Amino acid sequence: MITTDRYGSEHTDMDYRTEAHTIMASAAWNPMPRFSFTANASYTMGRGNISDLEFGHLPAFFQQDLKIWMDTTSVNPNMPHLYDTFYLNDMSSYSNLDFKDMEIEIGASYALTPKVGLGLKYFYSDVEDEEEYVYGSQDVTVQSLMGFVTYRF
Amino acid sequence: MKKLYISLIALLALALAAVPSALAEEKALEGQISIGGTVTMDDIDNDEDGAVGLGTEYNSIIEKNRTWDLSGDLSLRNSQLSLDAEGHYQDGDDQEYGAVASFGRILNYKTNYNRFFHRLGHDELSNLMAHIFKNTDGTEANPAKPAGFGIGSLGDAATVGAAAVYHTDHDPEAEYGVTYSVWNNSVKLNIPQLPGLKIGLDYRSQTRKGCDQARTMSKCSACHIEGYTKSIDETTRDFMPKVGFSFGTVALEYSFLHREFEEDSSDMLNTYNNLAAPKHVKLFSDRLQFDGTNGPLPFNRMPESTKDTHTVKARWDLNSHNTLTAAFVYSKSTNESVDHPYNALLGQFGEEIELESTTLTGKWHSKLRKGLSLTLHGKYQTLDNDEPFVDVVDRPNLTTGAILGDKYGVGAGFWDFERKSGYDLDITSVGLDIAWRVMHGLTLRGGYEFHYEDRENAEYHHVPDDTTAHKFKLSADYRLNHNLRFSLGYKLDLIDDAYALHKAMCTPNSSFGAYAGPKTDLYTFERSYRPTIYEARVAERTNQPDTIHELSFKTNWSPFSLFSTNLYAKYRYAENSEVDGREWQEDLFNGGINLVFNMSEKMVFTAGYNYFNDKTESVYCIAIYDG
Repeated sequence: MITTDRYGSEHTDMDYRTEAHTIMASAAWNPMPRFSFTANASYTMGRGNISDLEFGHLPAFFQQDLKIWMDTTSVNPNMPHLYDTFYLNDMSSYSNLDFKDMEIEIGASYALTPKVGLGLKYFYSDVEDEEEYVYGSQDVTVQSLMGFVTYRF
Repeated sequence: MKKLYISLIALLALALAAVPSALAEEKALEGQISIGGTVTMDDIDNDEDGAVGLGTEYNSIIEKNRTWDLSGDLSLRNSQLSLDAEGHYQDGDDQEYGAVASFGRILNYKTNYNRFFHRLGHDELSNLMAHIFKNTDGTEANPAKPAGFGIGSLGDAATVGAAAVYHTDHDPEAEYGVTYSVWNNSVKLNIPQLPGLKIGLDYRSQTRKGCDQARTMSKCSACHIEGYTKSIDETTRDFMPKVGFSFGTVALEYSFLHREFEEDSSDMLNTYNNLAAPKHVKLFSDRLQFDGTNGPLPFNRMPESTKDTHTVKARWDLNSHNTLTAAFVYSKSTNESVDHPYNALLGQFGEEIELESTTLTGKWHSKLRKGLSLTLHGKYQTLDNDEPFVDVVDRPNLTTGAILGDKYGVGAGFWDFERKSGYDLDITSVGLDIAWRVMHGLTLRGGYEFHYEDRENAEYHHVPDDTTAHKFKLSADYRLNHNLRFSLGYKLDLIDDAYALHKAMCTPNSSFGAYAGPKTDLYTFERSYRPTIYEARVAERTNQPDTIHELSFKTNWSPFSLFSTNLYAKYRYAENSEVDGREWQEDLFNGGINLVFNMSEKMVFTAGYNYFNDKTESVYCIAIYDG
């Protein structure tokens, strides 16, 4: 049994990239003095990922150290040795980011009299999370409708 | 705070009650009120419980289905009073109010209140599952698992080894969020008999209330991460009286800020795993600061603090072309929560920790001639932090009863130390800015700044003693005609010894070695970890650049009255080639376009697109030791 301490280091590149496209549009329309209409929409697509994370297997130098190079094939064929830097490569996808976010808001107001008006607003929000992180899925869809009466003095 | 809402609503109601009489006074009172409600048609369903997606992170009403929506604003004018107020109530966790009042232009009052809900994430901790395998060939000892060790989802107990990372979420169904509120108030008094004198008082109250996830971890056994629900109740109050006086071309102002941070959140306690047993008890129990044998111990504490700041500002208009401004700021921040009785996790500092900061700034702005101006500016700041005494626990060995210091003949207290603060530093900057209107429509701007940071305790934190930066900037604004305008900008930062961590990692050359010293105690620090781990870390790394190039471009074009557009872009390239191994780099681009169509007086259409791309290149290095 080898008892001599063996040590060293392994390194790899670790590049991280984030990217986002955002498109937005809005419109305001007053077809008649008493009626107004507004609409807003935005769409965001975001991505993030680690690349170039490519650890090699531990060098043969460590094969002499039983505590590092322990053969565990019988309990997990996918990880034949107790420690191997190669196993770390899977973490490159761990913090991946991939989401799509759509927001829509539509509103309309109508003046019943010069002092009294009615309004209606519709909100839509939809987030699609393609890559879960530690907080679980962030998918969410929300719709809401707001109505109001306005009095001017 | 409920009294505040009632008061504000009552104020609004009283104002509205006065509408008829006010109308009779030639529209002294104007405004509007809006009464409505919101129905949320879709909700976060059970499968998405706790989601904090982009569309809902700050949305307080999605789980309440039906909420009121009340808003209003008013404006009141008469010979004695000028008042503008507005308010919006959507939900108990979504409110906004503001008012500006002037009483005969002698007493001016400005206030605003904002309250919103911030949904926080719940870390499921589910990624925290890994373990070594029990030895299968019988050549290595198989240490027993420590008390409290959880196999659970880790796998088959027959194959899971003692070294593992696993988790326990004590409140897995909890949803977290904090309601944030801030109330700003400012009163200013102008005394007609003393026109140059201004007296004021600012008051600000900020609160955070709700629940968040608190996490802690056992060590020197398995890495057992535990998550709890922690109630949050934090209040920050600012009181700032100030007085200003101007006479002729000179103006002076003095203010004193007293800030209190109060923390009434729940006290978190956790009983940690015991040290891996039984083999390691004799070897390591005198090296730990705490473990499960200490019983429940506090964690996730937020210290209460105060801060007092004195500020003096001065302005002197030397003549119509030259102005001098200067400021002096002295502040003292005090950590009020470190003088508790001895406890393994509370320390034994015996007195509060203070951070002092003194800042001097000055600026001279001069219009050298028509179209040409020069600004010289400088700043000096010094930060001085207390050096609290850290009493490292001399824990008796659970088997022998002896402390580690006796074992090595150094006695108790050998590892005690004074914490040298990384905040002890001096910051100096001087610079100049020039603006030159070369000709009609063309303006050039340039600037230079010298920035120097001197760190007093750099050697204790393995960071550079000092950092020097030279910052250059150049820009041009060109207006070809009323319809077309360009802006171009370039910035260059050159930094010597950017903030970095010396000995951050092993030399990234894949070199390997074997310990060849005398065979002593296997767990003696001098034999194992010092030479093979800590002293092998010789490479310097940072995420701070030593060179930054930044280009920016913007244009506005309005070819005809019904259409306008602007195009913008910024590119930043930053690198640090002074670090060991591969250099650190960042490429950042942000750009977009906006379009505005005024189709008619009754119709406006806008559209926009933005693209963001940020890439950092670094190196990842891990130490390997026979464990």
